[in-house]
Amino acid sequence: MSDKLHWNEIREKYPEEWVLLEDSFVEENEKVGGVVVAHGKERKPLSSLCRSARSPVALVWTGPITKGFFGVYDKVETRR
Amino acid sequence: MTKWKLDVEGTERWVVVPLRLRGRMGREFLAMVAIDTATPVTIIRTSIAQDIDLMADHPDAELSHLTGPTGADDGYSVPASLVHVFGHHFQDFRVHCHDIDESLEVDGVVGMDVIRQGRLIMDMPERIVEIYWRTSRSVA
Repeated sequence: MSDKLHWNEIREKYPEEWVLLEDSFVEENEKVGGVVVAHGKERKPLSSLCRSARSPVALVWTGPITKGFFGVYDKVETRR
Repeated sequence: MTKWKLDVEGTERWVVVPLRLRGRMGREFLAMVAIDTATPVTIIRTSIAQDIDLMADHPDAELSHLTGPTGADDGYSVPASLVHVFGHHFQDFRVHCHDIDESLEVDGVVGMDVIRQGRLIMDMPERIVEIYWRTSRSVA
């Protein structure tokens, strides 16, 4: 059985990669840890594996965030 | 009053926090979301919602229509049995599920529906991001 890794260990072992974690957890410093079950440079192939990973699942990028959201979302409407 | 604190470098372009989302049958996903005071609702990748069985055909699902700087986007909203973010629980909290480009490194945003319930302090030069809650638990 694989070991649970802390965020610093994950980032050191899989720099600038997407990492799929099962049995994930949040540490006191709000960093994420868990058991690494897959990793890679692209998110999409790993996304399809989330369903089979043990809950709580996380799919995280270990590098700096360079492509996030931008702008303002407004005029939110909800309707059935 | 309870306090939640995040370690930051102070140079981040986005401040990203973990958000634990519980769907049907108790399955959970730990998403990474950006703090976004410019968005009134909390948005999550559709694929994540589907991984924990929060589907568009959920009995309490509603259409979600968001308008952003590049135009409108349609998704759906659905109540998650539990959302845990900023050290705080929200039960039966409605999240908005929208398709988010796979190249983006965050899974969504935590919006004003959460932020307005606490007192958020962001002092990036001092590397301080804190939120204070009046109670230890909240029901949205």
